Amino acid sequence: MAHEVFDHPNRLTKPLKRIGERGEGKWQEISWPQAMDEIAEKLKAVIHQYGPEGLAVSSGPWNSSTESGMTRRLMNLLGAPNYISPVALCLGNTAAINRLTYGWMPLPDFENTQCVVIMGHNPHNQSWVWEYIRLRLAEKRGAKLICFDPRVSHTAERADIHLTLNPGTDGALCMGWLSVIIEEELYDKSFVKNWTVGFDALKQRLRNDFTLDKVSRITGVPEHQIAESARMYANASSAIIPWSPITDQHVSSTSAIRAISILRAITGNLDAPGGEMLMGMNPNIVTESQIELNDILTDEQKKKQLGYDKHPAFTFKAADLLSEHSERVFGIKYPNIVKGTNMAVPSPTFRAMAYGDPYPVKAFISIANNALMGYGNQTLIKKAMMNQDLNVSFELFMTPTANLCDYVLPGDTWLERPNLMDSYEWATMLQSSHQLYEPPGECKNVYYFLKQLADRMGLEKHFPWQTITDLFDYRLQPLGLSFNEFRDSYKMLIAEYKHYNYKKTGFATPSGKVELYSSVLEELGCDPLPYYRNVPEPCEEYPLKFFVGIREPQFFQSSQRHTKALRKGNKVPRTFINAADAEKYGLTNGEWATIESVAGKIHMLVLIRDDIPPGLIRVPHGWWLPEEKDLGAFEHNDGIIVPDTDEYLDREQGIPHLKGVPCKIYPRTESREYIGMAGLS
Amino acid sequence: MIKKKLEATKAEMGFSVARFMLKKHKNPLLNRAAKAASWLNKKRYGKDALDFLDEPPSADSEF
Repeated sequence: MAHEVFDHPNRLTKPLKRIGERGEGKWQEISWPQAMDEIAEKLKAVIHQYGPEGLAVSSGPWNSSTESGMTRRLMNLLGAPNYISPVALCLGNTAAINRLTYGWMPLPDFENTQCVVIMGHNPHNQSWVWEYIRLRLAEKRGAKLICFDPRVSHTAERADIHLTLNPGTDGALCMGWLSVIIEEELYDKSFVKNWTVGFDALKQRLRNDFTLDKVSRITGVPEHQIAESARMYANASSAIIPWSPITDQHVSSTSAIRAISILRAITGNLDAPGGEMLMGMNPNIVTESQIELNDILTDEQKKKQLGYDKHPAFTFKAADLLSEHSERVFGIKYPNIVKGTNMAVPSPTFRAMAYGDPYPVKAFISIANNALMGYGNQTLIKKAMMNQDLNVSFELFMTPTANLCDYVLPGDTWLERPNLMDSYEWATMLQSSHQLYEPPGECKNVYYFLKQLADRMGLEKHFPWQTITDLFDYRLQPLGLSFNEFRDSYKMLIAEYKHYNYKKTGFATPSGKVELYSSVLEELGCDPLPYYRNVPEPCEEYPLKFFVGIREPQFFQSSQRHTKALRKGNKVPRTFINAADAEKYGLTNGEWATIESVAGKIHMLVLIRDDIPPGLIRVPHGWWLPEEKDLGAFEHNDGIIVPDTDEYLDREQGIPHLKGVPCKIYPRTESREYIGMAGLS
Repeated sequence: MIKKKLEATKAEMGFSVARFMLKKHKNPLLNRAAKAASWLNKKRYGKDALDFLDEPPSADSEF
């Protein structure tokens, strides 16, 4: 199946140069040397006129995993701080916020745990398979399952307790749990006494702002259910709260992630068997963080990072406050866990690109990332891209993002290259993969692109590896094996791990302890304790709420829409709505509807489902239609209706709210002829 | 405290076994031992450890 996806007539196989207007779709095939010469010349001109901060790069790290930290290396060598990534609202930001509390991003110990808390996430046998298998095996062992979810998902159906909370209120529910656990003294008293700071301040915040009746009103969960579930979690001999994208995408995401972190800590589950493992860096390889050379970026350039002052939680501003403590515990100043730390903030970056505020950003490189479809406020992103002197895309297919670029460079796929995977420094699992096919045409791996650019920018001595295999050989030097020897010796290498390591090293925070009251957030000018905030409530004009979510097993994010075999099972974007709301708003199953928010409107087919509660509709992520003339880029994407004004952005991170935005829905009135599946190759 | 230490030791031994199973042993005896450990690991969860992968599709895996 994967090969069918990639061995496709739409596959980009040669570098393309735009010859028409942006978005017009007129291209000229050129050679790699010509493309790279012209890109480097234009990038030099931008840097000469606007400084290195005039370059922004958006990278999709899952799709370009062979880059091995080279993107940030090139940017740091250029002095360019504006690296953005969709991990800002999916996992990467969680990693950065976890560091504020205890210095690292924990990996859940499914193997030994007695209780699993799943928040809104619904891993199943076609999506999040690794987590699904670990979860089901834990359930087989007898582990309890608690599920937070407004709807009845497959995970919720199996749960011992299913909490049907209001969308976007997970953080408040966690604070309710903390209230119960602290008031009923269910926490690990020895751990709290010896290894935390700020317990009294937290207790006061909970008493002031998170009484059970108040939490019940916010979340819609009955008080007795909040208390019962909190007791189940706290009384389990070990428990985990695996990462969930849900809390990454809230207007109070930072507080929600912090509340989860605090739950893990005060129940004594940090670095405990069956709990949350703080694994640190893998000592067997040169890590991506080391390759990135984050140390060399000057303070002056770090301060120019977009979002640095207004939304600092995952920028260099926060990372610098943790750097010496990370070095003390984990041996590195800037651990870039899940590539989610030291980043610029997407919304301010696109504003700078569009309006030159606070300074102009005039060159944009999108690496294996359909940026136009990947963040909130797509209208802004389009304006930002149209205002660039240089737009470059490194891609597999002509995506909506690539279609707005000046140069489109053909990339390879995971089947067409060897790879060394290091778990994105979240854990210490190290794996290799084999190359099965030769890349078609002139498709290249991302390191080739970065090296070609670096060579032309006068940085060739910092990119001495001729191939990615050379690079992997270098990265494996600490292990004393070449890449090929490693591949022949291990299916997977897991570094040695000892529990309760913090007893020897302390935590990688300024206090050396778990910071329930975060000194870093305080120094950043943010609330040091978790709080609750939500977006505006539904009103007469926008009586419903939408959430972006429910993974579609046919696709990964905005990819694969060109594949007929996959589209057969999922032809067009579909919104889910319950029968009562469908009737109320005059919608018919299988007919087109328009969904509108303060940010814009999109069109989707209606699918009536009984697992969706009243007042809520589901919007899938990242839809475009490659068979359409305009690629269907501006009619269906969730990002069009996701606002990014201040009241919809998390204060500390600046990421948008995707879980419960006020909206309205009505039958589509505009007529539109679609080419449909017949237009797919 | 003793219970926690025992649980930690057990979990760390689990890591050691996992490391052993995930190495491609050149010695045939070690290779067979790794395969046996892998088989036993699955059997801990019953006759068909991964039977849930064959469950009928849920509303979220096919719609």
